[in-house]
Amino acid sequence: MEGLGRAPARTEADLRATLAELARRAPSADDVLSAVREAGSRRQRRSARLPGQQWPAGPGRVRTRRLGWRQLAAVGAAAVTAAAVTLALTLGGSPSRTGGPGGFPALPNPPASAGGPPVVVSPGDHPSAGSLAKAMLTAYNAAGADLVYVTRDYVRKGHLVQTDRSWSWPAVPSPGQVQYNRDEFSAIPRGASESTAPVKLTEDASYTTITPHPSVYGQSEPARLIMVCYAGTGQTGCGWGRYETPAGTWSKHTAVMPYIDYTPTPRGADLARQIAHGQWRIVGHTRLRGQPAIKLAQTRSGTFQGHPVFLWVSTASYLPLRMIWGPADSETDNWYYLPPSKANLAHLRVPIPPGYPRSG
Amino acid sequence: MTFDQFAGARLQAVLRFATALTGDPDLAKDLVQEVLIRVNGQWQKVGQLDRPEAYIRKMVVNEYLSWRRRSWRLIPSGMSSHVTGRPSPDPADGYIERQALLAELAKLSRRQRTALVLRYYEGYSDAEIAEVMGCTRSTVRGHVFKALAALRVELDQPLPTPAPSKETH
Repeated sequence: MEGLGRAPARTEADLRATLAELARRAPSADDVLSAVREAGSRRQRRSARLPGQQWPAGPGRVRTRRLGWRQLAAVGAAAVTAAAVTLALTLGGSPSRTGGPGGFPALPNPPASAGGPPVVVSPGDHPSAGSLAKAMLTAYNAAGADLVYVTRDYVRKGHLVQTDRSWSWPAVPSPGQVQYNRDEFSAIPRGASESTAPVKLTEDASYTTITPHPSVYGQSEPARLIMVCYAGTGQTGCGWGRYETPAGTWSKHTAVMPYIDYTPTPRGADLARQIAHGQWRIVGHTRLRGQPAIKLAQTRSGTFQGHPVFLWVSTASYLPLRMIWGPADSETDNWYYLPPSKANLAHLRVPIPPGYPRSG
Repeated sequence: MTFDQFAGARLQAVLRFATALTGDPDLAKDLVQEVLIRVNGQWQKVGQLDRPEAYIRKMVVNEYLSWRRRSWRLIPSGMSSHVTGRPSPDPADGYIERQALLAELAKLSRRQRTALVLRYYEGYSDAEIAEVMGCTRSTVRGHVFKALAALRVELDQPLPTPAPSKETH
């Protein structure tokens, strides 16, 4: 038998100490109790939904390429293929299994999908590009420990065709810091009309990893992936790197994986630099999501030349609020920087639908 | 004892036990949560037991051993399943050794691991372990014997050699 006959390496005291140390990693009883009490009163899962749109509780579909309009605008045709591969790897979300349907507290409602630019109510006194950029950079750094929640809605010919909901915490991780991410992706079922069918929840993934130093990006890091691949929309499975999760199942993998930078882009710091370098111009003042905001339009020297791109920055927090690419086929991103409260962090957990078996 | 009284006094201990059992805080949470959801519905009976906590621990063990044949051994060797921090080199030999032992614990069969945790974390006797696991004392000793050998743990006092067991893991 393995180990017999060798010089003893450990004692029973070592074993006791190790088990005791392991036990100290136990989760909080409060979390478990909350879930148990909710389970008693909860009958039906309540998924996040867009205003006016009923989201299905169950099925989702295959991962389609999550190429957004802005990616198409930003890169050439040859680069699109590479971007697709990158994005296919990038999609995923965060931590563990919850005890049942709908365990998430409400987040702020996303704004109407790809709704047109809000009305500019008054020109106001514009800050200089330099001061705005400085304020944004300061705010971005100050929000580094927050949970950032991002919604992305893709509209083609006036119809919503894909949605992404992602959560990342901390919003700006330091090298060596664990970052928890979750990504919930919905799309139109295969074979359904892209002009009339509603999007359906397709996959929900969590991705927890350790942030490497920027100089060593591209290396592999210890990570945990949990993937729920929804059935019922024609997909056969959901891929993440070398892991494939069959539709109608969930999987969990802990391994050393190629690092994926999950921090939402464009980062606030990047936007601040672009503003400072004249790639955006202030076009007015408005209110958005209850906050005073500055509306900016990208100049022709910006990243997405040739396509109208608008950005709204809160003048209460100096954090970005919304960005819209394109007039007709559009992508609308909304950013929400939230305090890392227990309720907000609960969104990082991926709920496992009842009856879904674990497949890996 | 009401459910709330039990939860306030003993739930954290049950969670610690489940974490030692599974090696994964998230899975431990799931396990205990599922057990408690069931227990909560029949607390009138469970609360009248002499040792409700022992009953619940037994449920946790049963859940762990039988839960839908899920693979609990996906954890790659050499790392815990719970990412708790950057695995930077640590000069403390004890820390490194404990990490290695944790990785080897994760490779044990569920029954071997259960027997070890009940014995070395809970301090149960062979008879108590046998009662919780629903097997004979001889089988318990077999699990412990094989697990300790795999982990290369030196016994303070030698175990009696277990009788051959027909049970499978």
